[in-house]
Amino acid sequence: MNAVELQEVTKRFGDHTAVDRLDLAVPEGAIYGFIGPNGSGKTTTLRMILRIFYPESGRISVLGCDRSRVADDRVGYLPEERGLYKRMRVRDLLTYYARLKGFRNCRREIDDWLARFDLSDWAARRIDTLSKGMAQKVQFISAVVARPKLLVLDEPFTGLDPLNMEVLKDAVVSLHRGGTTVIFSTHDMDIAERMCDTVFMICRGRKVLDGTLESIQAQYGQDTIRVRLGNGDGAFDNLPGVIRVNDYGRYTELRMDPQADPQAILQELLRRARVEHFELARPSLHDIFVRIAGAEAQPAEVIGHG
Amino acid sequence: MGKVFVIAVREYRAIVGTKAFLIAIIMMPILMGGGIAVQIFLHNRLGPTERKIMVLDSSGVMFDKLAQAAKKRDNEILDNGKQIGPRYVLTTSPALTVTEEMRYDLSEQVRKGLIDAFVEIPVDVDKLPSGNKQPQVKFYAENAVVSDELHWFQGKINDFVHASRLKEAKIDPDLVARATAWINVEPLGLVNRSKAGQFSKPRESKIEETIFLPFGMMMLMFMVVFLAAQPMLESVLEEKSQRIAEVLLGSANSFQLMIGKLIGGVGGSLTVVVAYAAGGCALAWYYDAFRLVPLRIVPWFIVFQILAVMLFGSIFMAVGAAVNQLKEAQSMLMPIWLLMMFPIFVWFQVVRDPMGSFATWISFVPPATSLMMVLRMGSTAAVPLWQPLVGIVVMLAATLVCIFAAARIFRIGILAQGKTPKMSELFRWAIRG
Repeated sequence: MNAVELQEVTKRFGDHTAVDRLDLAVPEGAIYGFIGPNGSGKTTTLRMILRIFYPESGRISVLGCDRSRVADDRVGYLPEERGLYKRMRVRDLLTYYARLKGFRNCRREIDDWLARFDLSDWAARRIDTLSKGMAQKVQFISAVVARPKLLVLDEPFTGLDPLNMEVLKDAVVSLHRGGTTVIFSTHDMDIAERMCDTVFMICRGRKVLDGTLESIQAQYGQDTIRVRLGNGDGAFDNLPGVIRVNDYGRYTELRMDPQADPQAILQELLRRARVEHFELARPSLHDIFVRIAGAEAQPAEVIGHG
Repeated sequence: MGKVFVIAVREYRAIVGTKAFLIAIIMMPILMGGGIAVQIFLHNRLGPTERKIMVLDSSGVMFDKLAQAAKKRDNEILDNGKQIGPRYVLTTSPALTVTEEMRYDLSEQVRKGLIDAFVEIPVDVDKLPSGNKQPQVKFYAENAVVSDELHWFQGKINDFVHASRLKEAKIDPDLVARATAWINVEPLGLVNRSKAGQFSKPRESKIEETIFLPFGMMMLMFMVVFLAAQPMLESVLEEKSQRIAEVLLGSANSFQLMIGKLIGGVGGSLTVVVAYAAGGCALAWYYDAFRLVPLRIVPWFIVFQILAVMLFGSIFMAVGAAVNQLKEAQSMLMPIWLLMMFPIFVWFQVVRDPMGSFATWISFVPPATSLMMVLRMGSTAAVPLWQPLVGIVVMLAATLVCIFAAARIFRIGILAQGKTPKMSELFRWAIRG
């Protein structure tokens, strides 16, 4: 069964079409990554799932319900733009959010989460006395305190230091293991690659990627070469069979022409310089993202399978 | 309904649980009533202990009488042996003719603080004039028109002149006093008859009941609406600027949020009313004026106040959702403020004739209805029952329209960032959603 289903969903703001005939199915128990450039329609889609925005056309079903005009109490939400009532105390704030979700006896749940995030001593303190990292953790707790079946996280790791990011990542993973379906949007492709069962990419309001990482990468084949040279400045200039060169400093990533032979490229490189590392690889999610969202983007072309 | 209640409780706590609210609730009556008391206190206790006045008496007969009256006044300004006002120290000049040079010299003395004022009494001021033309007494001071001394001189000089002229005309002053004694016209309420056929004694119509009480009630409602609506605007603005709104909208829809906030605001306003009403009743009890407390209109007051808070609260919240800063909200609220204050501009006309057509019709026009109806009902006039009932219906309809329109603006505005919408855009949001 799918936790979320979108069928032919369109959302417009004036003349601008933010989301265009979008179909999507998020299976129950999945960790589903939403990626896409800024302004592509990610947040609008998430807001429609939350019933904050209503679509002009199409159908949205969340946890089996498709008629509600109010956010489902079984859905937890951490928006990208975060904010808390500065003058409220931590425990009062979390109690308020839990009760808004219809979860009345929430004291123990709040205590557990505060202890888990090392915030127990701050329960009676006002929000404006917390550090930024602490406030972000409190915000995360507010999204999960009511034990959601579906957790929607919009850029959950933005602005966090590696330590706090690790704590939050562990929390998301443990919720997922407990049966919670997780949808999160991110610009961090590395996180998406490591955490998500399935990746969905939206560009200019339209779905351009949807599937497991393996299925998406399989569509592109092994068209990427990672090379490290010992010397040889300018060795990549006009290299036959290579259509794009991306220098990462420690190594260089080359994208091959579909008809090119990697052996020929290796031979040519050996002729020009000393090759220390040569690896034939599938493109990373980052690379796929750049290919789609950049100048090479192929509108309306959907790659992968759901 | 559960969510609305949860939101209402938080809003109520956010309004009532702040120091600003407590300060406002205490300071408002202190500022309004206390200001007058402080002025009286300062005037009586901290004013000058004596006023030096030069009397240029060309008549030659008035100065002695005025000096005697001033001496007599010294005893009248003692309260338990303590002086509560300035003594008048009168001096005179031997010259019987007043010249421009003298006036200038005395004016300089006033400017240097050597004396406080000077009075010029003309020749024959006490003589019976042959025609209608009266001699002019002149009082010179820095702020002559608001001077207490001017009024004292006016009274005393007239008393002495009248007595002197009556004597000259050989008319008994006592006879004149009796003949011209003021006939009082007693203001009374209307007579009622009980079921047993007994007539009630009409109530004495007092200025406190007729003017001050209804005005006080209207101002109380105005203050309560202000104290409740302003925090509602600030709360919405905080949720918008601090990006809290989206989290809330992930749990409740905009209409639930608005209704919850309005109920919280109404709760806050009722707290203010209870605090002020309890204080007012305690004061009335202390001063033995509890009979003046209009218990009969308390339920009406509460109903109209709830409606006014909901109507203005929803407008304030819509504005809060539409703008990004309090400064922008203030300029957008200007026309709303004028609407809110309209009853204050016309209250005297209404209270003078609470059953007149102007007062009656204006009390059916929202948003003035609440304040106007309370003003009229607070007066001694017997407003027919159907009028406040129609007022409630009209106000209820206007409040519902405002809430629905504001909810639409709220839903669009609360997540909108950047440019503040124009008034025309707000109307479009309200109509089309």
